[in-house]
Amino acid sequence: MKILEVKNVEKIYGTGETAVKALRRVNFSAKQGEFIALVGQSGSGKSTLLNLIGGLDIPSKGEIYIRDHNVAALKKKELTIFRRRNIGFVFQNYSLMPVMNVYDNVALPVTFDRGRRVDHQYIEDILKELGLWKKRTKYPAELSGGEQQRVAIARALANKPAILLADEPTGNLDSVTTQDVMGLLKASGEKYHQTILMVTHNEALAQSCDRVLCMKDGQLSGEEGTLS
Amino acid sequence: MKAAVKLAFQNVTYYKKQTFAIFLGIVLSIALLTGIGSLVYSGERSSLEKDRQVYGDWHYYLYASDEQGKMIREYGEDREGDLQEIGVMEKKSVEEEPYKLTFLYGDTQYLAMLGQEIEEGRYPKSREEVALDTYTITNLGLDAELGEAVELNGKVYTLCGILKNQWSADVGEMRVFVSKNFPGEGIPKCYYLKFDEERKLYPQADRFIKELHISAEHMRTNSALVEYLGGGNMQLFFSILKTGFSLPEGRLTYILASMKENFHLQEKGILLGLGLFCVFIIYSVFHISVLKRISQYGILQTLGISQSQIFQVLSAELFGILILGYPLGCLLGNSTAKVLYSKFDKVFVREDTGTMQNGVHVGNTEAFKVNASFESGDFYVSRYAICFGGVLLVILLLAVCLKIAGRIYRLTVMQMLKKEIKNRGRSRKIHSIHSSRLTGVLTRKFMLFGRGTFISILCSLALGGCIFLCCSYVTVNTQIHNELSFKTDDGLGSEYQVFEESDNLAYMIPKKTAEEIAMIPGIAAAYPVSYYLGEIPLEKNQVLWDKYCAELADDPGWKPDPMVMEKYNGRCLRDESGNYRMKCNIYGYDDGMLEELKDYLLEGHYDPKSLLEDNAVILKTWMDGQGNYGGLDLKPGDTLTVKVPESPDVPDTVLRFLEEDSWYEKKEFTIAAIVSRPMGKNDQLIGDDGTSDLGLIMTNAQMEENFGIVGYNRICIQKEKQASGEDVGRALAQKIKDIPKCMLQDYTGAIETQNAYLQQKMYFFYGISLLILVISMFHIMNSMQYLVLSRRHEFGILRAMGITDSGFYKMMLREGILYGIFASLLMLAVYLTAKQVLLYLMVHVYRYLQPTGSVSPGIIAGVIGVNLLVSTAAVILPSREIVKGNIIQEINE
Amino acid sequence: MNETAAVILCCAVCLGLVWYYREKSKRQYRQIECMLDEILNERPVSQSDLEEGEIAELSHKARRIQEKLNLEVQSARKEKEQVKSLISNMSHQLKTPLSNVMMYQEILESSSLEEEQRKKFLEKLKTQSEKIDWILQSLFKMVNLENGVIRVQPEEKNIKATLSRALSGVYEKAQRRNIKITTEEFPDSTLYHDPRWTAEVLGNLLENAVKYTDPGGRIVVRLVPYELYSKLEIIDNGRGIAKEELSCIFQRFYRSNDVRNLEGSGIGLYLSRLILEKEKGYLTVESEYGRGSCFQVFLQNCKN
Repeated sequence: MKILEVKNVEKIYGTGETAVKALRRVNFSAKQGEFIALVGQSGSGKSTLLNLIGGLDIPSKGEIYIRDHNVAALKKKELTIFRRRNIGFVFQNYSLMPVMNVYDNVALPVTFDRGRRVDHQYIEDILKELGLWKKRTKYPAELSGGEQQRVAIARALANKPAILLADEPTGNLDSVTTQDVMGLLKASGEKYHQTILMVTHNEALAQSCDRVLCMKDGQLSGEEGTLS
Repeated sequence: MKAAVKLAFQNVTYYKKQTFAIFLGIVLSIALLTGIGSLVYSGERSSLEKDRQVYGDWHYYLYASDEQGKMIREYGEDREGDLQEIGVMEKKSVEEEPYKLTFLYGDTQYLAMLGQEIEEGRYPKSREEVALDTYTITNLGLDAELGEAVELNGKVYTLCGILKNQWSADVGEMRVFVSKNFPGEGIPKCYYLKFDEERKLYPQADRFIKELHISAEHMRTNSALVEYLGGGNMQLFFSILKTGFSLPEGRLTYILASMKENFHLQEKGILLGLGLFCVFIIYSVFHISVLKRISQYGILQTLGISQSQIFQVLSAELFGILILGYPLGCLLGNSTAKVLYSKFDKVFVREDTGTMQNGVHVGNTEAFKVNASFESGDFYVSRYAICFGGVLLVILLLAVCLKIAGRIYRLTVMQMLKKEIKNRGRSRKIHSIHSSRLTGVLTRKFMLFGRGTFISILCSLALGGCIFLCCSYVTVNTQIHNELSFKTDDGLGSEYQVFEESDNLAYMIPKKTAEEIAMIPGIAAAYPVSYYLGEIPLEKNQVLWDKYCAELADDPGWKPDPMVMEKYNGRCLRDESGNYRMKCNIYGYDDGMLEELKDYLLEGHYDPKSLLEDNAVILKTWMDGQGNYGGLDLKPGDTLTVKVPESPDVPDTVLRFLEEDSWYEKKEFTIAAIVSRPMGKNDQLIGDDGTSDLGLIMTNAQMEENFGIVGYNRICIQKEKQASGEDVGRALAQKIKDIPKCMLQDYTGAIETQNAYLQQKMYFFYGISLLILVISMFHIMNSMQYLVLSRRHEFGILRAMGITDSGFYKMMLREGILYGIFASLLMLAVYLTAKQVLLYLMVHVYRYLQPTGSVSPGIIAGVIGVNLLVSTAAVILPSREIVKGNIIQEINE
Repeated sequence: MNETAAVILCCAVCLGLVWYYREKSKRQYRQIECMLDEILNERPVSQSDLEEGEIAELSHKARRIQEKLNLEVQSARKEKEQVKSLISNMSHQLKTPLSNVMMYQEILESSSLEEEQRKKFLEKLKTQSEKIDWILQSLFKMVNLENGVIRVQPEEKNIKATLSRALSGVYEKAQRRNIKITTEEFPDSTLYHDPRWTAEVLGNLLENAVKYTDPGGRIVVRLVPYELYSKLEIIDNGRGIAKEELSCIFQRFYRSNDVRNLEGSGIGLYLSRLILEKEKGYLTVESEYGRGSCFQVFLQNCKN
């Protein structure tokens, strides 16, 4: 089942002579439960594509369908709510709230929804799954990089999103913790049936994904391997 | 150093927005400082000019023999630098009947010094000629035509000149100017001296006294001028401290009050306060600007910059901007001040002229006309304020730079590059378990994350409001004080006063006339006051201030009024056994006046009916220089005996209270209440300055019952608002024209002027405190903007997590409101504390009457409202910037 | 009079509020009912899920439930097809050895063979039957595994024992091919795994290593503990895998062109992957063509 479909997406930054085409005619789709790696050199447009899919930015042209909603055509408020309910982000710089402890950081996005119960059992499950339960009252500054990224993953999962977008989730981590984080991403993706789209420049990491998309100069240059 | 300056210059030109904020902060603060400084200074100069006009353009006078006079003149010629002008006045004779008339000769110098220029005609040349001022002409009932025959003291003189009124003329003293060769009674000549005002007066006077071997006691001072121009010296400073600390109580009060009088403490205090305020603002704006680019300094540190170099860069930056901003601020401040000064001219002139100065009471309507007619004079740029402000700013800002540099240096390089500032003592509580609204928790955590920033923002939010509230508090009480003191000291509570201008108790305004006056159309109320003189014997231990009067003080430098001594044997008397006999003014009021007197109530309570039934009285007690009233050990409920002449119509000597007992009778009264001031004062006998004379107040009926006083000494009349002042005045004059020695004073103009003046003053002070509010607002906006924008990253995350714009605004709004509430709480707390200090100052240093007023809840609510509004606006404005910004950029910040 | 009016006004306001909230909850109820109907009737949920508030949130959840249902229906359908393709695959895979078996059988039946040749053909026949058996067994395992009939039951078990179990299975084969297997020293640790199936995985990997490494090569086995996972590396210096093929080797029945001539079913790696997934572990590979490969098995450390 298609959960994500990107159709003829273009993104142009700036106008006139200074215009830069960050993306040109990108087409692809993803099925539920797929773990897709987006590889390419820096500046190839992979982060831009991820941000467009996440609704953090709006494409100049084209359509992005996620769960039958055209993200590109939503109003700002609708987009925000859509993002909140359907998309989980994991950033390279962890992007945790420094003033909150682990548990609150994870529960935070759930509380944005008015009239929504915080599923504490679920949060406990995730934290245990990610090996963070004992550290739930710690603050981000007291955690190692790998732990912080695990908190970020837990937070991304807290809202039970349909798609998890990870932008270089292991970019700031050493190889040891990279393995941890990757394993958790895969494991939790499988456990919670999430489609994961991960931007990385680490080829070895990409191999352990179901599918690898290559970006070059704002275009999808090729696809490596498709599972089943 | 050169490198530092270069770097600083690059910083300044690169961060244009921040530079502009600092620049604006500096310009505004400096403008405030120098502008107010100049206003205060101009006001002082203006008051000085006014005092010069009212009290005369002289510094000292002394009675001297002809021989001494010659020496003085020689001294004046020798030391032209010191002694600039000498005026001579010779009292030829003093007549008591039918009016108090003084025949005197004054040379041109003297006339000029006293402001009594000849308006018409010329100064008398022969013994038969006289010149009179308008006051005398009016009271003698002359036509004011030159050449008119004037009969004085049985002789006929020709009026050859009309002089301008003397401001400080004692009520009742009429002066007749005669020629130099007019036969005199051999009273020594009086020399009026004026020293060089460009230099301090005290040293000049000291030199003068030493060289001519004159005793300092003989030098009479024109204190209004001398106090301002004298210039305090260190000796005085220490002697004030010494005296202050040797006092058993009220040390601080004494020191403050004396310093205020001798060293312009008030003005310096204002400048210092404003200076500190400015430094605070500049510091805060600059600090924030440095924080915004703290990573820059981190890079510099990795390149190996030393702490002193950081300090150099910072100070080069700050002072570079300061050098540009200072002149501009001065210019802006002074030009605004100049405009303001021409609009609100009267506000800055001291208003105490016309009350008590140098023991001369100016009850004359003219004194108020001075206020009305007096041109506020030129605007002076206060060089002192500019220099003082400059020096203060330079010193404090250097300290600020040092502090910031130290702080930058203490942070590790990594902290700066990451803009990370640690905080300690975190709670381990999981909030999401208890509350499903984590944004509220987030708000609170953000606010408290940097405690220093939080407190400094709260302080600056509260500061403006605090100053505004304190100003309002003082203004409200000043208004109350002014109103009350007008009523009692100047009679400004009533538009007209009809009174007996005589020291003879037998002269009275008949009851019938009083009733008729009350019937005149256009008169709203007429309060008749009856008067009697009495003596109260007091036990030794009942008088706690045993050196309160000149008569008791036994101080060679402080002699009792010789006239009071001669006619009434002094106001206080201590016999061999140590007991006291105090002269007191006894007033009889009617019900309306007693009601108004309640404003001055210190202890006890009364009403006209109970006074009459119990035959009780109200005691008007002493007040000292610090606004205390505990001079006599008398309380409501105590009884006292009063000794009065057996009838108003007794020989003058009886009033010395030394005659046989058959001349007097004694009455006993209970004290019902104690008040601070009397109303409808009688100044004709022992005098009543409102503070230092004892008084007894009862009903008019009691006056009649106890002492047989049937008529009135004075009637205070209030006009109906719409009635024509002229008509009422004329009708009043008509009624009293046949009553001997009865005079009418018209205060209508003066009251209007005073009211307008007060209003202007109120507006002005509100304006200034508003200005301060505005400047602190500017600073708050700046700090808040920094605070909010420094959390861009976190807000970016929140937005990526899916907080809607309205949710985000709601969250920020909550933060703003919380800031507003906390700031308001802080403001109220500080205000309540400051109120106590101000109350103390007002009561003891400024001797305010009944400072019971407080700022109206409406204003407090308004200020709280403004606080809330400002803090929310200050949060919401930068929030808009966040919302408009790109989420991705915010996250990656 | 005024009081009465005030009381009436109050009552009116209260009634109004009661009415308003009643209507609101009624409306909400109707909306929820409508949503449930839509799910039942397999119609798309019409209520918007892009608004703030409870109903939108419910709508969002309803859609997710609907999607899940659809997904399950689809996967059931897909499974059916998979079984079909499995059957065809199976027949294809079995075809070669089966036809060989048939051929040998024919040859053996025509009794014009010498004893020596007969023995040789019988040997070949045996090999082919074993191959069929092996394929069938693998298929059986895989089918059961995919359908969840065989349960992988991960427990906190000693990894050393599991590893030696796997090693003993290939030791003989390795020695036969003169390949040296070295196990680097590591502290024994308990990992979250099912020893039987994990031994199967490791055995598969080791067998591959032995199979694709030329005689005289060497295989290194090493355990690297991380914070959450432990990594078991099986490094060989065999022929390696081409870069293009790296992401394909884990697919079912994929066989590299290079190894067509070598025995293999194209099931081993796929099976390993399935097993590891059930154990919450995963499998990656690093390889350089012609220089050797490194398979990495990640197993979870014991829960913290």
